[in-house]
Amino acid sequence: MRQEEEALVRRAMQRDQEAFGRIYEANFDRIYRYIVLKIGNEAEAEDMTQQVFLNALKSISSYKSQGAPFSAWLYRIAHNQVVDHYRKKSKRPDTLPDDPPVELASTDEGIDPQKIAEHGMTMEQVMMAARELTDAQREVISLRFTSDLSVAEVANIMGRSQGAVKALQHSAILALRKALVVETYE
Amino acid sequence: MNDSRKFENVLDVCLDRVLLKNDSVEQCLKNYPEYAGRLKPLLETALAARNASAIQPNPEFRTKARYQFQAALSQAVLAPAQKQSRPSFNLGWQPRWVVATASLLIFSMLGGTTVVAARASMPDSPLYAVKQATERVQMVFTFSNLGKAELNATLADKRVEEIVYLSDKDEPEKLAQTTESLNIHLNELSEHASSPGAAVVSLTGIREAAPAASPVTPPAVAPAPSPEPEIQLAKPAPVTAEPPVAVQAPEAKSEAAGKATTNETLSLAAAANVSERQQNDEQQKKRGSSDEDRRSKLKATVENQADNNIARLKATVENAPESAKPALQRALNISKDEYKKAIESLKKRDD
Repeated sequence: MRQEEEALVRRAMQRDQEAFGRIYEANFDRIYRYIVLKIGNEAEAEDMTQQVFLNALKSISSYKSQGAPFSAWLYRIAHNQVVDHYRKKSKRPDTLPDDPPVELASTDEGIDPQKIAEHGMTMEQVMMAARELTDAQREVISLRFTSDLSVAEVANIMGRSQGAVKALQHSAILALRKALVVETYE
Repeated sequence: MNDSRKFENVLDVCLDRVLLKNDSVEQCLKNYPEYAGRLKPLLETALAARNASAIQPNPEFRTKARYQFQAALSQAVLAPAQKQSRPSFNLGWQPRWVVATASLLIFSMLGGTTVVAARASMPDSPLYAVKQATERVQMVFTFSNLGKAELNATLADKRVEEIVYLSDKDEPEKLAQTTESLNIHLNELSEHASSPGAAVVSLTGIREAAPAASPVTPPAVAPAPSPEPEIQLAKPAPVTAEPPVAVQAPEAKSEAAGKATTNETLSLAAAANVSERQQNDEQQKKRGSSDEDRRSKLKATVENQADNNIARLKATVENAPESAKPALQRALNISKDEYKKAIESLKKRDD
């Protein structure tokens, strides 16, 4: 599988249109979902998704595999795009500071988790809830929920250890659940 | 390893199983009964949030984005040749109303001889750039999904004609580009055929139809495009202060195309097709032809085209020079797969 992808990327680096087209088709939707979840705005995510692939096209000749899947490189471009988006807006979404201490074993009492699913959660609710997360937590959630990347691959993209990503993943889901429960029952 | 770390590992394993391998939450809990109480709410939350996040891009946006990307890709492949001699006119960054209005004015002044001549041109002709520009504008000004599906069927048919023509011309690059274009048209045919038939008014403007000709910004500074004014076809804004603008054709080899395709001719192509599509739409309304009738006709047309084009491509592959066979085989494979998908999409909407 990985060998096939590497062969495809090599062809794309030689400006093979078919190869780049296949890479585009394989990754377009998930990059779009990743950006939507990160910025919480579908219209802006559309523009940014297009730009990610145009940037990839421009920079493909400088791509180096380094053992990660090609999508990891695309997610990095998408991440830069998101960072730039907020920089240009001159404000960040209302988030907590990065990686605050999380009380892992608390707050489960009195909440029926089944009800979250029963409420038929919408993308809008998830986007709203995701605003309560730190940037790092949102990054982990976005990558894990919109792609088929493993923790090792997410760690590679984020430049963190796998242990750190697992901890972030845990705290992010807890925080997401809190936010969703509050949102759902308010 | 402390308990917290152990739990994070277990959670990660279960997330992989639930999110990536479609195991149920219960299956995972059975393997880790000691953590079941803590795991269950987290896995259910993750699963619900993942499912809610599994949105698809709007089909209209996806089609437009694919088209723009393909144009940029074609241009990237041809970039060295274009750098040498491409004229400086560039539609990409003109306000949309200027392009539309200027096109209409130029059309009314000049008439449509070049556009008509370009319709029959082949990829090795200088007029082919006009043909491509014409088709892009046709697509932009076709508003309904059904109309776009019909247009894509027609254009796919033309691409097959061109592929057959190129088979013995020793033009591998043009053959590959035309094949890719066939792929796009058939993909879009399926997408529009499976979308609701209601009119989708999307005055996306000629800028979207034109290739992304401007330099692509690097990742760290990539801006989102700024909003632009909508096209006002009914009350065009004055254009006296603006220079004439033109649709830029991505695949045009300017040394050849430059002789025959001026700004005005390309704008003429744009305007001619705006007018033509509007007339067609009007005629369509007058005939009172229902969407169901059109859909049924389209299905019959596509089935017919699929049979004919696949047979033609098969014969072409057999008789082509060895060097052209891989590209032609790809065109044949695309035709087989994508025509089948398109017909299935048209049938699904019937069900």
